[in-house]
Order: sequence, then structure tokens, then C-alpha cells
Amino acid sequence: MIRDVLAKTVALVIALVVVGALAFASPLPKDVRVLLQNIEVYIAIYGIYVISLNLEVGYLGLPQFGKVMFLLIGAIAVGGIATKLVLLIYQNAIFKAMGAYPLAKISDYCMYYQYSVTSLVNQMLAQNPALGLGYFLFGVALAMVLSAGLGVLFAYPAIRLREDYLGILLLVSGEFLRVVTYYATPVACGVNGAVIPDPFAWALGETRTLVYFIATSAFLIATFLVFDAIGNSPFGRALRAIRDSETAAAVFGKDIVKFRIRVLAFASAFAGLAGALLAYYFDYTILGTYLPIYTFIGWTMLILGGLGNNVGAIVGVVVYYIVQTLLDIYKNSLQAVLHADPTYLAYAIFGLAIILVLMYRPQGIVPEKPVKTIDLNKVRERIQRKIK
Amino acid sequence: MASKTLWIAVAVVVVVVVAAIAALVYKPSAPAAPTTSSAPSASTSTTQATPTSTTAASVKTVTIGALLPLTGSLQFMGVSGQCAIQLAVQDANQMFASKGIQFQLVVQDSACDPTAALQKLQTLYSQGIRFVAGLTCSSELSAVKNFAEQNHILITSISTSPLLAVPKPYIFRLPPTDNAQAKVLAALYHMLGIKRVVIVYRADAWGQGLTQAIINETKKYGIQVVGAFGYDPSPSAMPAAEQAAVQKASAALGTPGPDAAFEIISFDQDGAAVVQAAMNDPVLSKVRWFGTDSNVYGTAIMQAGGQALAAAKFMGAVASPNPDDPHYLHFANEFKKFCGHAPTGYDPYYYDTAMIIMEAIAETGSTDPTVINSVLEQWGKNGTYVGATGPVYFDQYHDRQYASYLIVGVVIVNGTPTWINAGFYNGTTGQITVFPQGQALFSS
Amino acid sequence: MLEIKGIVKQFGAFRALDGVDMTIERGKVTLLIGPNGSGKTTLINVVTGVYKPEAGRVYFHDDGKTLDITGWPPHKVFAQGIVRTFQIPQIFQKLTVMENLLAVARGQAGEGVLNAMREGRWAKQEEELAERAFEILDLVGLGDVWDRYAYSLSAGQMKLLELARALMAGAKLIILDEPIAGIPIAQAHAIFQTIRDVNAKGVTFWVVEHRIDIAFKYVDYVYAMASGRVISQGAPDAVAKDPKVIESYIGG
Repeated sequence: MIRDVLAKTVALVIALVVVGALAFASPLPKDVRVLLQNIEVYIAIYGIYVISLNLEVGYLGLPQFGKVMFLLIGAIAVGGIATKLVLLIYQNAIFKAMGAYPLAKISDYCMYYQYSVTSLVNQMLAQNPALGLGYFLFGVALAMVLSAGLGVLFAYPAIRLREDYLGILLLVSGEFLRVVTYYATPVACGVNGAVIPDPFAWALGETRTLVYFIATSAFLIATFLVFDAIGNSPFGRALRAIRDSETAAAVFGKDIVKFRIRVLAFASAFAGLAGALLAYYFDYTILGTYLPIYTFIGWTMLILGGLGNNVGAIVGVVVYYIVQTLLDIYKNSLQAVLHADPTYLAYAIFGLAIILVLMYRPQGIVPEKPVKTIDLNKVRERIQRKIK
Repeated sequence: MASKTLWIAVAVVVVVVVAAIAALVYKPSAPAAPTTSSAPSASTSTTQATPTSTTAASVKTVTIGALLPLTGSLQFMGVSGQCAIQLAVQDANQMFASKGIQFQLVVQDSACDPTAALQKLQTLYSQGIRFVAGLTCSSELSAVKNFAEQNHILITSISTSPLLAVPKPYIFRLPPTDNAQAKVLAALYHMLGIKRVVIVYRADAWGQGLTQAIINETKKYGIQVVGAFGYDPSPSAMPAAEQAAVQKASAALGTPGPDAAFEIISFDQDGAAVVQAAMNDPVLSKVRWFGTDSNVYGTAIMQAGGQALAAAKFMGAVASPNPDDPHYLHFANEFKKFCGHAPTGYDPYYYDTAMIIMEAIAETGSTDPTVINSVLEQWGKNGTYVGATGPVYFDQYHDRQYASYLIVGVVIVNGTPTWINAGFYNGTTGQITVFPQGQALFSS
Repeated sequence: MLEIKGIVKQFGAFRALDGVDMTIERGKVTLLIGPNGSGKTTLINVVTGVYKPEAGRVYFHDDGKTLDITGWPPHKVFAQGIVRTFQIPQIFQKLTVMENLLAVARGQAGEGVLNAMREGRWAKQEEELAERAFEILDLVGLGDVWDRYAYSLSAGQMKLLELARALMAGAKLIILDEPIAGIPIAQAHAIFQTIRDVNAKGVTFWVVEHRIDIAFKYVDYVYAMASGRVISQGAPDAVAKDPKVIESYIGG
């Protein structure tokens, strides 16, 4: 029911405002606030990523083992395409200052001039926030469109096959795309990585982080609203029916292929959005680092939080980051007690935590709830009155 | 009608966030229990070196961070580098005990992943750490550059990518960029009468950058690079990727000859695969071979084809002080005792990334990164700091300059192929001196 | 209504269906009997598109037209008005009983991804579907557990849920695969009575059932299968006396 979804969304907004206030306008020490600010941005971005994964895994039961592919596509859209567009827009100014067009010899640009060109571009973008915003939205939109299209395209050969084949195909596709784009310099400066102009170049220091916090939070809220609305609808119910018994769902008229395509396109678009935000926020991207581990980090967050529940998806991300950060900070003290190498100890503790969750709370921190479309209790009462 | 669990979820989040912040803000009044470091030697405890003559009140504890690839593809560098940095901290605590400064080390794993590197740097920052040594990958440096600059975190790195030869306040790179190494290799080719070079390189940022730099530098001597072939350096592609690149290189070179050379731009393990492919090649096995700072002294490459390396008069250049430099000898000696193996490749640089920071802090008594930044700039102009890698000069981009290089090669000693120091490239004069034991390598 | 001609289905070397011919008359309740492994469920799977046959055709006669639905995917067979239940209940485990019914309703506007976000497009339909679902649940006796998760039902209740779901799907032909297996006698009679009631409203039934003592009282026509072939057919009384049927049951 949309009212229910809205209430949850309002709660999310309140939570974001509270933690935002803590991070940006509270008497906490500056170094703690800086950490909080950045973690909040990561949580917002990964929140989008995991909510979209939830639609595939939690609702449809699709083994999406290639999720990182869409962070990669987001990075390509921003670092490979939108960046070049800005360079193109400013190419005459760059030529005047540096004596060369940046895109004329891409390998030299990638290897030597990215930083000097980008700092020039950033100065100009700082004077032109409107263009910056346009460039930001262009990158985001492009990431979504490309992800939706490529998500379906890569899954297509196995879309009619059993789920496990599809999962393997997606895993391989992600690696394929990563390796190919990483070693192709023209895509996003290949092994050098692409330096990305800052769309909010006018905002400096903490203001920049605040702008990104607001932007990523806004996208997170929108994503939650959209995904929870479609989750609590006949569509979401059909997905869960397919998840629970594909044969029965097919026999009862659900076109499995069509649902898979819709879900892949839709969820991939939002994962691409997360990828684009990540690239803009880091203002640097190197495609070789989009390893399958990021797929499984997403899965970890989702399983921790609760499969099939969008609130759980966000909670999983929050818990993951808190545990990770606390482990990073306190692992050295732990080491004094446990006498083990702190680096590997931190990984081991994380692994153990996940195993414990799976053993004792397999449904996650926030378990799945029945789909809420309309108030069924009211219908029930009405019918019983009619009978009497 | 909001569900009850929703509010519970919100409450849980709020409580967890508050708890996390409380945990962050809470700083134990006394320094944490003496940290026994994970180094093989028990003597690494950072508090152990405190001289008893200094009263506790006058000892100032400074915690520095290290961000190293302890997992992932560059783990072998990071683990060794961690030991070098731990050694530096131990040394510093002995050297500067009289100044009432104690150094502590916090190590984080960056996995050579830019995303992880930035997150870990932010964690270090929240712990009040403003000095971070040992950043290894250029991609990590790119990712943390703005954060370090904005929040005034002084970072020392062993990245060598020419891409980062740009203004970068608060970031210093201890090894020279790959342009400098390319200059040495070009001078070496020229000295040996090489006119045609074919290159096989690992297709990462380092390999690609060095290859491009060699192409640029050799032009100055009229040497022609007839082809450069990259291979995917990930272990899963080994050895097929290396073999394919070697085959292409052989075809590009066409005919062997005294004017021809084969340049192997690799690390140790992948270099071994290249050597194995090249030693039976009819063309490449008949020309001189050259290496890089990342494969000379390698054990895998030596095992794979020591005889072939010696036959091909394999030589490479390592940025290094003169091997007879007492500073380096001292470091090498200590490192072997402390870490259990001889220092390789970047170990002396890792040592210096930490030591230069600690020395600057100890000498000035300041823990303000901005102050240390200008101190290092000043030192870099004058070559004030002399460490395991010799005197350190920085250029206007905070990158190492005037680095001297050791020419390292393979000869047969008592029937066994052995790494020897064959010559020395003086960074200031650009002259190559051949050592007596290296004569055979330089003869035609 | 349904015409099955020469269906052959092979699993490796095993020929599960060996040229089956069968006709399901419109408006009737047709029973299919046969010992275990005689190919009854395989035949249903072929008709509903779960399996593709090696040979033979399946024709569906409706609205004066004849469609060759051989090898059609399940959702298209469903679209023609054919639904089925499963011998081993294939309910949607983590959905509630109510959701199990709502999920299978035909022609839902809210199943498009864009419509799903606009509650106005489907809320009214949803209300109507919910009302019908409650009626069906009350009819089969699951009214009191409508908001329970399906996995928490007893085996018998799951059978009833299968039936309720088939009724909910608004079909012209309902194929029931062992609807009363494991159900107490009184309730089993009630289920067949329900089948007859619904049948009286014009829905054709094709029932596979072992418990012929109960089933024969409610059906119009009987097919008997053994080893992938039809061995007997006719009115219940006639088939019951057919020595081939008796032999296959005793021997098989």
C-alpha cells in the first residue's frame, strides 16, 4: 500500500536528516565528522546498489552474480563518456592553455595530461554550476540507460535457461566487460584510470561532501520509494511467486522471461546509477578494480539486512559499514588480545559474523514481509458482514 | 499505517549509529596495550624502545599510519613493505628516543583498490592520524589525492606513474617516476650499441607507462622500438598471455643481431613466464635481454631460466644508492635480520616513506602536516634526508629526482647463474660506471 | 475441448508416453486413472507446456476455433484458459495463502513494472480479486488461514490451496493432479462436490486420481492408462469392470 511505502520513506528521510546533522552540523570532533560524512555517502550509494540487487535476488530469486558489472558501466558512463563530453565542450579553452586538444591523442592524454586538463576543466566548471549539474545528470542518466540495455543484453543468451546458468553467465559477463574495458585505453584511460572532472567544482571542502551527501541521499530516497512501491504491488507479488516456484508461476500464466527482462533492466539501471555516483564522488575511476568481490559485498549486505525487504537492504549496508569501520579502528586492540595478524583477523571476524547470521538468523536482520497491496483485513471484514 | 518493524528498524539504525559514534569519540586515556606487531621479530613492540631515563610525561607519542596492499595482486610487495616500515618505526624509536618522541604504527590493508584505499585513509584520519606512509598503487594515490589535500594528510608513496607527475600538495613519492628509469635504460642501450628494441610489457599502468617512457627516451639516441606487446598480468592469464606477447615480439624483431635487444617489462612471477617463453625462441634467444627494477633480483625469474638470462647478458636498472653506500648497507643488513629475507625491489623505498616522515617530525618537533609538508619540500631541495635509498631530492611535484641507479645483471658464478651488481648510473651526471665484476656483461 | 493425438514423450531410453490419444469433452468431468508411472502426470506436463513432446499434437477447441497448442510455453497455455494443479504441491511457499491466490489471477494491471508504481491503476481490481479470493478460500475451507504463510500449512491444506489457486485462475479447463491424495474421506467427498459445483457453472475438469472409489461417483468419463498408453475408456461403470484395468492395477 502506497501509504505504507510513504511512511517508510518518511522514516528514511528522517533518519538521513538526523545522521546528516550529526555528520555536518554537530559538536563532534572534526575527524569523526569527516569519517561519518564519507561513510554516509557510501551508505547512500551502496544503499541504491543493494536495493536494486534485492529486487533481483530477494524478490525474483535471480542469481545476480554479475552485479558489479553495473558499477563498472556507471563508471564508464561517467569516466569514459560524460568526461569526454566535457573535454569536448571545453576543448578550445584547453587548447588555448595547453597547446593541444586533449582528445586528439588519447593515450598521451591518459598517461600524462589528465590531471592538468582536469584541474583546468574544474576551474571552468566552478564558474558554471549549471553546466556542472547538466554534466552530472547526463552521466547519471547515461549510466542508467546503458546499464539497463547492457544488463538485458548480457543476460539474454541464458535468459531462458535455468537460474544457475544465468548466474554463471552474469558472473562471466561482468569479468569479461571489466577485462576488456580495462585494457582498452580509449574507454576510460584503461590502466591509468580516468580522472573525472567534478560536476560540483564550485563546492569546496566540506561543502562538496555535503552536496554529495544531499545528492546521493536524494537518489537513495527516490530509489527506495520506487522499489518499495513496485515491491508492494501485484508486480512484486508475481516476482515472489516466480521465486518460490518457477514451474507453478509459469503454469499460472507468468511469462518468466518477460519478468526477468523487466527486473534485470530496471534493477541494472539503478545499479548503474550507483556506479555513476561512486565515480563522480571519487572523481577518479579505474575499471580494473571492479572485481567480482563487489558483487559479493552487495550480496553480503543484502543477506545481513534481510533478503526480500528493502528496509533490510539499507539496514544491511549500514551494519556492514559500521562493522567494517569499527573493525578497522579496533583491530589493533583486538590483536593485542588474540595474537593474530590484525589485517587477516578483521576479514576472519567479518566472515564469522556472516556465518553466524546465516546460522541463527537466515532471514536477516529485517525479515521479509508479505506484499502489501491493499488492506486485506478490511476486505475480509466486509465479506464476513455480507455473509451475515 | 507504518508497520511496527519499520520503527524498530529505524530505532536500531539510530542506536547503532550513536553507538558507533560513541565508540569513535571514546579515546582511551592511556595508550592501548603495548602492541606486539606481527613481524617475525618480537622486538618490534613500539613502546619497548622507550629509554628508562625519559619520564613518561615528557614522551610524546605520535601515531603514523601505513596503507599497504596486504591482500590482492600486489600482496607480495605490501607484506614485505610492511616489514620495512615496521623496521623504520623501530629504528626511529631508537634514534629519536632522546628527543622524547615515540612513534606508533597503525597498518591498514588497501588491497591496491582505490575505493578501499580512500575508505581506509578516512578511517585512519578519524583516528587522528595525519601521516600515512607506503601507499603503493598509483590508482590508490589518484583516489586519495583530493581527500589528502583537503584534510591535510601527509602521504608518502612508492607510486611511480608519470600520470601523477603533477602538483600534489601533501603527497610525496620516494621512488623516481618511470621516466627516470627509462632514461637509464636508454643510456644503457646506447652504450651497448643497441639500435633495435622489442618490448614485452605487463599491461598495467606501470608497464604501459614505462613502455611509453622508453619509447620516448630511446628516440633521443636514434634507437628504434620495433614493437611493444602487452600481456594481461593477472595470474589467471599466465602463462598463455606472456607466451602470446613473446611470440609477437619475436616476429616483430625478425632477425637477431648485436644491434638488437629484448626488453622485459615485468614483475618477478610474470617475468618468469616471459623468460620461459623467450629462452627457446629462435630470434629472441640470440639477442641481449634487459629487465626493469621490478624483475631484477627476482627469484622466480632466476629459477625459470637463470642460464638463459646469463647467456642473454640480462641487465636491468634499480633506483638505488651506490651499493657501497653505508646507509644502504646498514639498511640491508638490518632488514635481513628483522624480516628474515634480503630486501628486494621497493623495500628500501618503503623504509624511507616512513623514515622521512618520522625524521621530519622528530627534527622539527611538529606534528602539523602542513609544517612537515614544507619541511619535506625544503629537505627535498637540499637533499637533507639521506635514507636507505640515498639522498632524497624532490622536484616541484614532490617526486624524487636525481635518483641514481644500480645496473644489475646475471652472470655465471661457480657454475650457478647469480645476480650481480654490474654497474652504477649516477643520477646527477648521467654517467654509467662499470664495476669489475660486471665487465663481462658489457663486453660484446 | 481438449484433443490429444499420438503424444510421445521420451526421457532418454524410457518412453513415458507411447502414442496417447485422449479427448476431454467440454462441460464434463473427465477422470484419468492408472498405476504409478503410467504417464499421467507426464501427459499433463506435456499438455500444459512444462514438457515438449517428441511426437503428437495437442489441440484446444474453444469459441468455435481450434488451436494447436503443442509445445507452447506454459504461460501461453494458461492464457488460453487452461490451468492445472500439481501432484506434489507447488505452492508459493513464502507467500501467504491469500497472496497465493491473488498471484495467479488473470490479467492484472499491476503486473507491469510502470503500472506497479501507480496504485490507482490496480487498486480497484485488487479489491475485486481479493473478494473473489476470500470466497474461494471459504469455499474450499481455507478461509480461516488466509493470512498464514503457505509453508506453514498442513499437507492437506496445501492440496486445498492448490485447488483454490486453480479456481482463482478463472480457467475454462482445470486439470487437477491427484486433488484428494492424503485427504480424509469426508473432506475428499467435499472436494469432489466442489468440483461438481464449479463444473455446473461451465468449467471443464480433467482429474487425475488414484482413489477411484471416491472419484468414480463424481465423474462423467474415465480414461485408464498403463505404461504410457491408454488401455481403456468409457463410462465409470464400464471402465471399472474392464479386465485390462483390473489387471493393470493388480499387476502393476
